[in-house]
Amino acid sequence: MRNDNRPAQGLTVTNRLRTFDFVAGLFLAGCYFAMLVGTTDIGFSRDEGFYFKAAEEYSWWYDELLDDPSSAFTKKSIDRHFAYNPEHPALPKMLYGLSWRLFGKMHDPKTEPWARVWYHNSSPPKPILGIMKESTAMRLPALLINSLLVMFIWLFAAEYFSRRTALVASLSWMFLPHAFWHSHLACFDMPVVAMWFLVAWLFLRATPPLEERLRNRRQTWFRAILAGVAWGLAMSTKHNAWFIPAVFLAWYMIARYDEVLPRNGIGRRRLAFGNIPPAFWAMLVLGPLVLFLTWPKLWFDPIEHLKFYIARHAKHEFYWAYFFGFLHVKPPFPISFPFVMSAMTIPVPVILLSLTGLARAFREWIRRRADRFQLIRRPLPVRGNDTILFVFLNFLFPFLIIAAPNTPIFGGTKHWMPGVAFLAIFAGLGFETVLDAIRGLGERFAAFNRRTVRFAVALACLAVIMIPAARDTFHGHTNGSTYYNAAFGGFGAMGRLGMQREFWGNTAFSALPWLNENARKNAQIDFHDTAWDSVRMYWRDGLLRRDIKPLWDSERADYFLFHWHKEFLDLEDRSRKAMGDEVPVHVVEQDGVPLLNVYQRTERKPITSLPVVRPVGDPGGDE
Amino acid sequence: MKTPRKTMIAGFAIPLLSILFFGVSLRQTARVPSPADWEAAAAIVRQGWQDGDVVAFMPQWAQGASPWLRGLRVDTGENHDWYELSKAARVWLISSMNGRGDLPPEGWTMIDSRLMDKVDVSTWSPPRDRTLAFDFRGGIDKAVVSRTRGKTTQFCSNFKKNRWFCGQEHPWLYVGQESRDIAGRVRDIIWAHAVDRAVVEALWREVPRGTTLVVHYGLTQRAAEAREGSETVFSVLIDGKQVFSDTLKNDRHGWFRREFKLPGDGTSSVAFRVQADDPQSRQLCFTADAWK
Repeated sequence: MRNDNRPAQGLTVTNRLRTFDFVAGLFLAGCYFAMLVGTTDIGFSRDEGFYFKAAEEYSWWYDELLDDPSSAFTKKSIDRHFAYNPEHPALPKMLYGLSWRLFGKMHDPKTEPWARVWYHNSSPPKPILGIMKESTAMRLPALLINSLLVMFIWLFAAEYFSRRTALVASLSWMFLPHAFWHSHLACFDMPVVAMWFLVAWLFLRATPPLEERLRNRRQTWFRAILAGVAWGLAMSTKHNAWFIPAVFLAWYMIARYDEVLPRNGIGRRRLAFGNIPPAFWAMLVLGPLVLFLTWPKLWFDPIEHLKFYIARHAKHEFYWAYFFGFLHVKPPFPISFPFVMSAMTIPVPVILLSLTGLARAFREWIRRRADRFQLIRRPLPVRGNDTILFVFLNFLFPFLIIAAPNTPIFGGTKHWMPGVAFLAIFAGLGFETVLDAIRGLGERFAAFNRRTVRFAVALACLAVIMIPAARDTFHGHTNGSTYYNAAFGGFGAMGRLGMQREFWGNTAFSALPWLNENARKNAQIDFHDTAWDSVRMYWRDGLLRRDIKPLWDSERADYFLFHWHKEFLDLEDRSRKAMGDEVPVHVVEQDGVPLLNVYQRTERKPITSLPVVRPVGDPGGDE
Repeated sequence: MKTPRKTMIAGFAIPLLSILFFGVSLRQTARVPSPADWEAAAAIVRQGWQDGDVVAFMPQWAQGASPWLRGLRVDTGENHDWYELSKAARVWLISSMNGRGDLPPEGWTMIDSRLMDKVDVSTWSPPRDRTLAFDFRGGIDKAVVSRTRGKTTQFCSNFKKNRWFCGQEHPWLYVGQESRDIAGRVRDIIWAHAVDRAVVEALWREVPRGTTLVVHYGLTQRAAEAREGSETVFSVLIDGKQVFSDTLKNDRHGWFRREFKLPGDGTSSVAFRVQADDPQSRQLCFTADAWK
């Protein structure tokens, strides 16, 4: 990679990606994949349960595709296989289903008759390779895509900033506890972060200044097509991607409006239609096309299904969010929510780096825009005068969407995570300030003037910044979505500050060993917030004794698993009174904060039947 | 050009603060009690347990010891309710993490304290300057509950499961014992949901005089967060005379306390009234005690 500082051209650098960058990015992605695979002891969230079910049902379409391709593309076939969870694009679930079919180790109801209830239509397909747990097989595509994001971060940062920015940015992303936790799940939230980042990188590559585009028309169009296809795949991942063009358009109109609105001879601006970057055209044409092709539900009634899809998410129900001791249930939600939650749930060192990088980059961008290059003492290694703005808008926009007072909050941090990936770039830029300080040390003390010494000090600084973040990521990773950083009291912030503890019914996972050991034979368990499809996967993975029966009715169940949500405290009170015991028999806690209480019925009723009762009115749906 | 001092301070502050917060983070984890610590604390409580005792936690959310305390009376509310705790003979406090060193409110006396590695167990005696003479919630069966619309008063005579219904049982239109999340914790309260175009009244005829009447009232968490219906008026009447009235806006959070003197000998009648123009989700709750 060549760094060519050109002060006259706005202190910009020109980097070309080399093989090393792909190798380095892939290596870090491999490390992240290993981190994820090594920590799969994470429970199944509610939405993941729904997607397990969808993936399984969709996967039967592949059989029809192989057995009778002509019927596989009929409306009847599509309606039959893709009926469930139509409010989200099918692509991720199709991948999860495909992976499950290829790698999953299924149970055979012939030898295990009890397994019939665990599968769609009471019968699993024959395993193909059968080399991993079913949940891991379902999660595998998400694990891979989410790992590739680390490589995308490296490549983006190396191309538009520097390799040291790429390294620090990649590490900063890898050691975010919430992102790490979500990266395990067979859901869409993290894959869409990866896709948003990929689209942004490809778009920026396809949109250099006009002169360069005109000079390399062929390359520009090739890259534009890649960006268009990537956006289509991003839309096929999750609806967050619909906002991407707005970000790009905002950036383009701020940074490059002269290209499409140049002044004519008499100084008046006119629209230069032909100067619109090809990437916009490619996205406009290819994006919807790819979405259409990869979502079978659109094949026969695209307009009606899109109307349903948009209406579903435009009028999404409000979820409850416990925020500083106040339960927010309907608008207006606090504008500060995504910003404060991020400040609380990103490790302190990464916050410090990010804020430093943001402040410095923004100040530099303003000076570059104002042509006040003489004020920039130590320029950041940035390619292009408006790259900082591009990264900043991609960081800010996802936050702003959730900050809008009428946007449902959903409680967690995952919905603005696409912005956090760009924040990692600013963390990478923040490290430049640390490097400047080390350089300053060399200027003042001869002992630090040697390049090797400065390099060693820089490495040591990077280590003391990243080790705490890494430790936060691995400590309590099973409950990683409940992490709060040390500045706010660590996990204790949940209790001390009155913040959301449990989010999506996944903590039942940590109570399973206790239940397996202590629950009597054929015990009936009220799993509370855990979805039926998640419980089915616990059985299939051998994590839950097969004789234990879920029964979402604390009046009758032998045990009640109360997932600690503020909004459910009245229910907890009623349930434990119904159980006849006010004190839990088992508590799942993280760093001393209870996340789940197990209540046991004091007097057991005679069991007359052993029904598997699904939760009443479980809507499936999404989170 | 030399690197400015400001840049150097900012640059080195990042790793230094990272080290500091790393230390803080490690300490936060290190002070978390283990199951063995909780078990040891529970054993101390069991050893000295007496009738009328209750166990609470400091901080109140750190309730990891609960499973070892089964069979005892344990306060598992989200936050402390020192007023209700003061009705116990003694309170055992299991303190851990950032709650070690925190004390109950003024007036409480420490009887005993055992300091361990990660958990402290202390026994406290509530303020002894008064004794409970009458508990309105406990005496719900003695209440006379009515609804008045204009000049017509309907008495609610259907008493089931410690609740007074006006006619048929109803999921929420009654006056009676309930537990609801109000202002930071689930509380044992008297539920008195407002009724359409009516004044709901709960009257206790024989409340001992020579006492101080302590009233708590508020909307449930659900009612306040729902922001539905109209303002709710809550009034207190002693011997038929209104001594207090408060109008609660539909989003008003809180568990409010008022005290009234009931001087002299004999008994007084004490009534509580609830009304709202639009009773949608107007879940008003109250408790009252007479202290001698």
